[in-house]
Amino acid sequence: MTIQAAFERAGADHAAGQLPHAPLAMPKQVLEGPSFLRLMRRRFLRLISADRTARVGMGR
Amino acid sequence: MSARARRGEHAPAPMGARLARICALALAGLAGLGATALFLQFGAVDGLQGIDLLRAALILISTLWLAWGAASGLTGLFPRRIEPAPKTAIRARTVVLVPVYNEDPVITFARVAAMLGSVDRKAEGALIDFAILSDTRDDKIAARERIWFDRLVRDTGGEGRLFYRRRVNNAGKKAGNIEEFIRTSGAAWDLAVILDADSLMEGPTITEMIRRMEASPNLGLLQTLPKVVRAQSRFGRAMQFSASFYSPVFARGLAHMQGRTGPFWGHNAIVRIRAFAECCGLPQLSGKPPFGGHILSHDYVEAALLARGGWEVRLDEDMEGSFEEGPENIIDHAKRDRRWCQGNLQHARLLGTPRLRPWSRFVFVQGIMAYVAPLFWGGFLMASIADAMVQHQPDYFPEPYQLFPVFPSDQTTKAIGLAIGIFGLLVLPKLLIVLQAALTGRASRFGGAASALRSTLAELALSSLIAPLMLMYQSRSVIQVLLGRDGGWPPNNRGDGRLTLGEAAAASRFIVATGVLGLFATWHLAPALVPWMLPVGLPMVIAPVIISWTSQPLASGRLFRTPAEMRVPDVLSAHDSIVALWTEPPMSGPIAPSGDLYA
Repeated sequence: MTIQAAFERAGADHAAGQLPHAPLAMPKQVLEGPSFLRLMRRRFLRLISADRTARVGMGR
Repeated sequence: MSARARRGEHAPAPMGARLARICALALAGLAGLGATALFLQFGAVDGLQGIDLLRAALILISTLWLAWGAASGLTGLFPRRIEPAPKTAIRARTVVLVPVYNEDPVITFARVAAMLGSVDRKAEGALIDFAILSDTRDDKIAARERIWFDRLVRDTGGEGRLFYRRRVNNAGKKAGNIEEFIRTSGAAWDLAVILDADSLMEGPTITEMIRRMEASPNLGLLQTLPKVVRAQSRFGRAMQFSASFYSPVFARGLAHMQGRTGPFWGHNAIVRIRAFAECCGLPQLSGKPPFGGHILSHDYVEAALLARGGWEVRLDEDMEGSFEEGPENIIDHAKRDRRWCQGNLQHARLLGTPRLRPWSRFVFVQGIMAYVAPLFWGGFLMASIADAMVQHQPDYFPEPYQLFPVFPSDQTTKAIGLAIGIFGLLVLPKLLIVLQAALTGRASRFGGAASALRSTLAELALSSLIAPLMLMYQSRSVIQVLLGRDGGWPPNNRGDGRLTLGEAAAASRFIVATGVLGLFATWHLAPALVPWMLPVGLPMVIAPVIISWTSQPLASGRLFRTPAEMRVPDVLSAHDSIVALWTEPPMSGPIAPSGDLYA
C-alpha cells in the first residue's frame, strides 16, 4: 500500500504529520527453546549415537 | 524450493568467513594455551596445588578472551572487497525512523531537518520520508515535541514526508516502538533506516544504503559503522578517536568472520521492512527482569532472527557519513554499560533458541563474555593474593645430610614475560593499526602518522589508567544482574558531562574502598605482590580524581584528532546552524532564515 493510498483511505480525518494507516503483520517469534546445556547434550548424543555409527559405510 | 531455502537459509557460511573464523579461533586458542603453559611453569614451581590450577583456569579464560579481541583486530588488517552498488534509479520507498525518549526536541528535530536537507540535496530522486517515533513519558517534553514538530514541518517544507506520533505507553521500549510502527504503518514503505535520537547520517550514505539493499534482494539488514562525533571531554575525545581510528579495522575483522550472519547495533542501519516484520516480532521472556520480561538488547536478537529466517545481515564498515554521539564521562559510560550488561547477560536465556545459526549463538556467548571476563581477571588477582598468603617458605635442604643449599629457581623473568605478553595482546593490534594507517595514507585524515601515533599512545595510557575502574563497574553490573536487580531504562544524559570531584567521588566510593582494602591486604599479606598490584590498585584509590579529570574538556586540539574534526561533515554543520537558528533570541527585525540550511 502506498502512502498516498493510505492517506486517501483515511480521508479528511488524517491530520498533518500523522502516520499513514498501512498495517503489516509482525508475528511473535518463538525464542525460548531448550536450555543451552540440554541443546549441547542433544547434539552430543546425536553425534555419538549408535544409529549414526551403524550407517557409516552403508552408502547412505 | 522453499522461500527460506531460496534465500539461502541453509547455505553454510562462505569459505572466506569460515577460514577467518578458524584462523582467529586458532590464534586465540594458541595465545590462551601458551599463557597458561607459561603460568604453570612459574606458578607451580613450588608444587602444583589446587589454587594454582584455579589461577591457571582463570588466566586461560581471560587470555582467550583478550586474544580473541586481538585476533579480530589482526583479521581486520586484511582488506575486504565490497562490491559498490550499481547507480541505477532507486525504486524503493524508504522511511527514516527516529525514536525519541524524553530528548530535547530542538536538538533532536534539528537533526531530522539537517538529514532531510542532506537527503533532498543529494538523494538522486530517492523517496525518503522521516518518522519521529516518540516514547516520551514526560508530558511537558511531549508538548514541546508537538510545537517543534510543527516548526520542523514549516521550516523544511516537509509536509507529507515528515511524520510524528507518540505512543500511549512505551511497552517493549525501543524495540516495541519500532514494532508498533511496523504493525500500524510498515506496509507503506519498503525499507526503514533505524536511528537513535543522537544519530546523524549524510544523505549520500542513506542513498548508498538503499542502493545496496536494492542490489541484494536477500539482504535483510545492512549495518553501518557509526563514528562518534562532538566529543569535548578527555574521555569523550579518546573514545571518539578510538571509534574513528581503531573501530573500522576491528569491524572489518568482524565483517571477515560474519559471513551472512552480521551484527545489528540497533541504529544507523537499514532494514527490509517485510523481512523485519516476518522475523523480528519479539515476545516477552517468561519470568521477571533482569533475565525475564522484555528483551533489553533487542538488536543482537533481531540480527539472529533475521539470519534464522534466511535473510542476510551484513556490516559494511566502508560507508562514511554515519554518526552518533557518545558518553562524555566514565559515569555516563558506566550507566549505559549497566543496561548493555543486563541485555547481554539476558541472552543466556536465548542460547538454546530453536534453529539459530551457530554464529548467532557464538555472538551471544561473545556478548556475555565481554561482561563476565572482568570477573575472571578480578578472580585471578584475588587468587594470586590468596596463593601468596599460603605459600610456604622454600626448603633449601630437601635431602637429609645435604651439604649445599638448593635455591628455588627464579621465575620472575617468566612472570614478567607473561605480563608483557598479555599487555601485548592489548597493544599490538593498535600499534599495527597505526603502522597500516601510516603505510596506506589513512593516517593523513588523523593529522598525519606522527599525530596518529601520539594519539594512540595517549589513548593506550588513558585506557590503561581507567581499565581498573571499568573492571569494577562491569563487575558490579554483572553481580547486580546475577542477584536479580533490574537496572531499568534510564534516559541518556546528553550535554558536556563535566563532573566535579564531589560528584565523581559519590559515584566511585565502592571503587576507592575496594582499592584501598585490596592494596592494604596485599601489602599486609603478600608484600611481594605489591608492585604487581599497583597498576590496578592505584587508579582505584584515586578513582574520583581520574573520573573528574577525564570529564573535563580536552584543551589540546592536536591530540585525538579525527577526520570529522579536521573537516566537519556537511550534515553536522547544518545541524549546528539549525540549532543556532532555532535557539537564538527573537530579533526585532524580520527573520530571514537561509533556505540553504535545510536544502
